[in-house]
Amino acid sequence: MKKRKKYIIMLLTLFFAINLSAQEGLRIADVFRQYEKKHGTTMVQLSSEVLGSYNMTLYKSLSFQPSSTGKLGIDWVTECIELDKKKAKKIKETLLDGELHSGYYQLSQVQKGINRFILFKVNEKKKATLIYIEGSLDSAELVSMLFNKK
Amino acid sequence: MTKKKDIEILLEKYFEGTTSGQEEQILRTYFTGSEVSEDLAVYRPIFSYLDAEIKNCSTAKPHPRYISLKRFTWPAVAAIFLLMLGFTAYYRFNNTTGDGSYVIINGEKFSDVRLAQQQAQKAFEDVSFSKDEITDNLIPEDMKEGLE
Repeated sequence: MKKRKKYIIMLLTLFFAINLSAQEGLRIADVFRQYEKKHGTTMVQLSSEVLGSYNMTLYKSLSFQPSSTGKLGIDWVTECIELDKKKAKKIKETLLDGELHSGYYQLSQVQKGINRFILFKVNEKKKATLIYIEGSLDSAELVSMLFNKK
Repeated sequence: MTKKKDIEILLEKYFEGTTSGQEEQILRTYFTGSEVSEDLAVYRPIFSYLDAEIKNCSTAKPHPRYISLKRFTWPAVAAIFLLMLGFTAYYRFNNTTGDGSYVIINGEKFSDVRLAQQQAQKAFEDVSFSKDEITDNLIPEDMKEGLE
């Protein structure tokens, strides 16, 4: 019986190890899934091979135009971000007319030494940009990179 | 007469519970036959009943063979596990969330790393902020007027 229990635990561990990337389990993964193939959307994924010098292991961005109404519109997108925000240990947000304009979130680690960040911004034309970053870089490094971009 | 005596001995053994199967068969054959001694006729119903029961049992349909489901537990667990793995792999493949660097523009996937980096840079610039933006967000409009 103990052997069987061990066997089940081993199978489950293997399954989750294979299937769980850190982004899975976050609601923004749904946003990526819903929008990545839509017309007018640009979705980028960069893996560790091209990100090494930035201390990142994964970079995903989504530039899209969510509709102002509808089931998967901007309200749903911000709702997904709000839900992931609950897992954040650092939050920086700006609101415009009570609506989320930009957000910077550092999530709790799921793997030791790997930080996770969500960046979100909506511009004047209501075009949204959502970024998910994983890596050993810390919050200060990321903010410095963001600050120097403009 | 000898036969009757033998039957009496067998009966005695029967009621003592020491008869063999063969001896019981002899008793059943005797009591279901037509030459049953009158003073032994009292035992006829017992052996007739037993004989009928045995015949019923031998002609009855065999019990259906039940297959224990326990033996399928582990293959089932393995099959479910593989199915889950398969579904996930399929789902991941179709949702292009696998490893590697790529860019999807208007639903079309490009594996050109340089293009992906370029688009990543653009997205990163879109979420970045300038000193002016920070000032704009931190200082209320009425205060800015005062500053000017």
